[in-house]
Amino acid sequence: MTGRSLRAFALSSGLSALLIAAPAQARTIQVPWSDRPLDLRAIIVFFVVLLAALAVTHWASRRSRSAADFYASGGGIMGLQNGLAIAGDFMSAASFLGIAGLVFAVGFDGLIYSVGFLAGWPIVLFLVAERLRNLGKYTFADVASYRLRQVPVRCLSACGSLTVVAFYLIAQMVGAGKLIELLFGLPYEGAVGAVGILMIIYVMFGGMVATTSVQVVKAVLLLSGATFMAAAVLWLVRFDLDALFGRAIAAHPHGAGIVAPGGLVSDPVSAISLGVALMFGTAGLPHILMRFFTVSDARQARRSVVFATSFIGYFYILTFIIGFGAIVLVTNNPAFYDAAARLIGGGNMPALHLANATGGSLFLGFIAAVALATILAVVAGLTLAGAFAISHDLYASVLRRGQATRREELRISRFATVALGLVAIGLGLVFEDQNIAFMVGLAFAVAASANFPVLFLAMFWRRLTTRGAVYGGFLGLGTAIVLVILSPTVWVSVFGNAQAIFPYQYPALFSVAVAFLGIWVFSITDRSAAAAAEARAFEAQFLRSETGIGADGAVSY
Amino acid sequence: MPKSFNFSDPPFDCLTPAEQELVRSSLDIAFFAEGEQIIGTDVPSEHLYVVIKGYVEERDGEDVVAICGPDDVFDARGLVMGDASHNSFVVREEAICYVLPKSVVLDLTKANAAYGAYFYQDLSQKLSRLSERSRARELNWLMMARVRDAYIHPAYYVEATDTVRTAGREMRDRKVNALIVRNGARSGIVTGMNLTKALVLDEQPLTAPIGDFAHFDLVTVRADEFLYNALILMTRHSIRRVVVVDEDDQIIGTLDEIDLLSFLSSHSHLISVQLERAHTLDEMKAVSARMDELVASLHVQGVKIQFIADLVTELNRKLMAKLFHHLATPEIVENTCLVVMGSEGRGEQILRTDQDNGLILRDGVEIPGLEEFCGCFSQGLLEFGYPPCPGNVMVTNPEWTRPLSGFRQEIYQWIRKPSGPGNLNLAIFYDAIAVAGDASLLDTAKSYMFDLLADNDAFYAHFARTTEAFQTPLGLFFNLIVQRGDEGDMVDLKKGGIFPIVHGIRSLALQQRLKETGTIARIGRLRGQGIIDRALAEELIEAFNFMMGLRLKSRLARIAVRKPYDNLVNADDLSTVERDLLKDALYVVKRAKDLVRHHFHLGLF
Repeated sequence: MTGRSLRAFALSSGLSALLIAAPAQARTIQVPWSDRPLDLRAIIVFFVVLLAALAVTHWASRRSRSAADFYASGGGIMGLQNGLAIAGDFMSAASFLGIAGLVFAVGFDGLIYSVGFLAGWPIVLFLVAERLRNLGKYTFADVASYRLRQVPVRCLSACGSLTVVAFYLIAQMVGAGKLIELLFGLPYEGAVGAVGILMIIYVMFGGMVATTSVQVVKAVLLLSGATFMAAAVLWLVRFDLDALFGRAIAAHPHGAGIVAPGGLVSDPVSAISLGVALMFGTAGLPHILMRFFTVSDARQARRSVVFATSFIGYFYILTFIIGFGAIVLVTNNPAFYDAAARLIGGGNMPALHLANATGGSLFLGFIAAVALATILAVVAGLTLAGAFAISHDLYASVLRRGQATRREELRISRFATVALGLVAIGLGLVFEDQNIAFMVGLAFAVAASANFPVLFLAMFWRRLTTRGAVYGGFLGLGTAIVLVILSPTVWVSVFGNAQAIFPYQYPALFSVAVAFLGIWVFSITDRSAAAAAEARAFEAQFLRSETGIGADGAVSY
Repeated sequence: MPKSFNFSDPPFDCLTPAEQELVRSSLDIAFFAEGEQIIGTDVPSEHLYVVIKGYVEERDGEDVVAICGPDDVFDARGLVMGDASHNSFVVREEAICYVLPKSVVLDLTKANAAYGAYFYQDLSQKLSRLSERSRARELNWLMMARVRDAYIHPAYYVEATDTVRTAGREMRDRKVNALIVRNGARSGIVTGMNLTKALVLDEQPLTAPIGDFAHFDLVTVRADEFLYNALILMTRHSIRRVVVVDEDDQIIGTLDEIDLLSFLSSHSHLISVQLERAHTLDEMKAVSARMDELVASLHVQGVKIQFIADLVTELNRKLMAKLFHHLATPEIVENTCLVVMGSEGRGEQILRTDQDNGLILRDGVEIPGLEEFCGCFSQGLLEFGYPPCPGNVMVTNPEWTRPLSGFRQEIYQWIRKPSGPGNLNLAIFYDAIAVAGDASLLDTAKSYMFDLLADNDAFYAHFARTTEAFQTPLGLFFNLIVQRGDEGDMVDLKKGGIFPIVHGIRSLALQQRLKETGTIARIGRLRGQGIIDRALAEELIEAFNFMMGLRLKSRLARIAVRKPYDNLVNADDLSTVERDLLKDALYVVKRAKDLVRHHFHLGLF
């Protein structure tokens, strides 16, 4: 297998050399399904890099280590590795394509997402990571049901997780669809369908794994691609940021407005609301919380957050540079606009155009392949989390009341994977023109409204009861979803109404408040004996979450 | 050469063009009149029939169980099973049939797996069919066994003039229950029961001559007589032992009913008895040397692998206990617990592979001569043919010979501060079984282990990860992945199949805090708790046993040519059926690994 991936590498580098050496002729190809010529070299590079990336990930995720002794692999994953893996899971296509697109469109305010995404990490570090590892739980539902009643809590957590996964998947689908559309000139519907099916195949035949090593490979690819692109931009301005901003102001239709706040989020309610979503959402993302399951101990859990935060912070600085680079190099280049003066591929594609502008079609193909590989890897993690929520929480715990065998559960999780893929295709079509960083923002809003309050209070508030968690959690989730539907994003853009009922695009400020309030009210008014028992169980759980010590007497043997 | 033969119906639909040609060239067409019997009940069928026209009844005795019409095939089962007790086939309406010779059919089942699969349906049926055949063979073997194959007590002689007391002492010292009494040229027998009767019921003095109580009308049997004749003899004369003689009617010894029955039921009793009688290291060594023979003979007889494993485990443990008691001072017996771990603890070590043992010492007791004892014990096992453990899990290693409190500290480390070596040690220790000494020491250590195991899912996930350490050698297209070696294409049964089952099941069992140590027992309990469903549990046990059997077969073959054995089997040596069964078994392993991966969320690592 090593041989094969090496061959793939040799092939890719050989091909690249060939392509660089080749004369400029036959660079484009006219295809019947598109009215613009396609960049053949970019397409070849795209396939070569994508296949190489898949080969490397396959090699990296191989379970078998020929030389390894039987138990050499034990002991868990170390902080640096896991930090990279978390970064890989977190840095989705949204971050890369979406933030660059936002900065390209509005300048400075695009940074609000970068900062917000980053600001969630201290919360994960201080409140969640170590405790999750000490409790040794896989999902936040496992944490919450430590002392609360399984069935209702799992029902809530499954709904919350699935909504988050759905929003997150939309962003990945839109990103991938647009990317394929741009590269191959396919109609968007076809592109999304093809990508969706590719994703299902990838997850199913990949053995339902979102291994640490896959995410590590992906994070390294993405970081190096982005670094290269940012370096190319900086090199063009001779590493003079003033020059970069100056040329951007000169090029952008908003002029000096792009270096001032207010371009994207103009009123304080929206700003705070978005901030709340991004800050508290990270700690409620199911596929991120899962990552603390694999580290060897609480110390490594902390370390991995620190590493992840560093990588993610670095990456967002890059996206900012890439965004401004795109303003300079893409805005006034007619090659990237169609006849109606619209940016080809829509508002999510400036990063790819920038790749083309800095490194030509070779680099375009490379970045597109990296972006797609990124999307596939993120989808694998998301689908794993979503399929688990369906098969374990909804099916085994809620529907079958714990009577399902593991094999049935496994079968359901396979169906769930396909179903999630199909749902993602459908939603991807509906939300075609949305900025994908914005869609991810919505996923964060839901996570912050439904998952985070329950997880947070389950770990820190003695008087949390099942009733409080479930009522409050569902209130938060419902509020978030309803407000999103009534917001301009869906009410106007998708349903085509003239005026949105809810004026703000970001629901989190309201829905998070509703969730906390609901949980508090329904918990303190719960006078049942079960509630008292749940409060009594808090001590043991708290001790364990803080120290990792404490036996569990509930299991009889 | 009928061109019109229909190759689109099973089982002919899976034949290659060349095989189709073979079928075509071997086909005949036969006409049968109404009422004619095509296949009789007691005559093995020599052909496979495919109906072209007309109807044929399948009868079980007088009852019609099925009717074969055009394109139907009969009698596939009778042909492959080769037994004579099948149903009969009688023409109901004059019929024309294709006739395919049995040899062609059998060749095809061997050459073409899919075609063969028609005859052997799923793994479970196939395996049970194999074991049915084995059972028949076993029965046959028992019927063929000779008296000399069973354990014959050596003849110990007393003179007829010796006293009852002398005879009694002789019986005690020799640990026998019957003595041959010599009275001039005549020989008789006296048993413990005779002595008891004489002393208790007839109130004879201890000084009475033994000749008065002996029976001189000996019931004898020749050593080369069939064993079941000895049994018939005992039944006819209502006696519990017969005297065994050679061709010249010279007494060799006695055959006890109990030994005969044990032999017929297990054959192992012999070794067990020998073991009990062994007093010196050399005697024990001689017994241990016979164990491989026992395994080989049981295997050749077709005895089920699980049964062999149980038996050998029992004997191994007895041998170790014997050695322990032989070498240990009373203080050691009193204050330590000898445990065996790993495969020996699980009872899955059929041929001696290595020593996996340890000693738990009572806290606060100073035991003189302990180190020397450990050295002798290990050396003794080495001489018996148990090589040292490569991981040094042995009593000679202070890591594994330590006071209970030391074990508790270790267990604490394994569970609270998980690491690769810690997980390995925990896995080894979880399989531990007490063999000699004070078993409560191991019980205490194990309850401490169970107490420490919290419901920390991440811990179990880390523990279970090793299940996935090795690839299952089954390709995407159900092909066997082999390692090219000097001696041909090899398959590693341990890494590919046995270890994943053992460790996956061990991980699930540890999480459920099961006390069983054997893999099959654990599977049974996990099934009872709804962790594994019934079908998978059964298939897992079958797959596990099949691979253990295959490994045993390969190891015995290597022992026969005096080569060191390992976990590899040569794929070229496998028969087609074995190959298919191995693939089926590996497929079961793959599914079990999927389940373990899902259960412990290993997809994330």
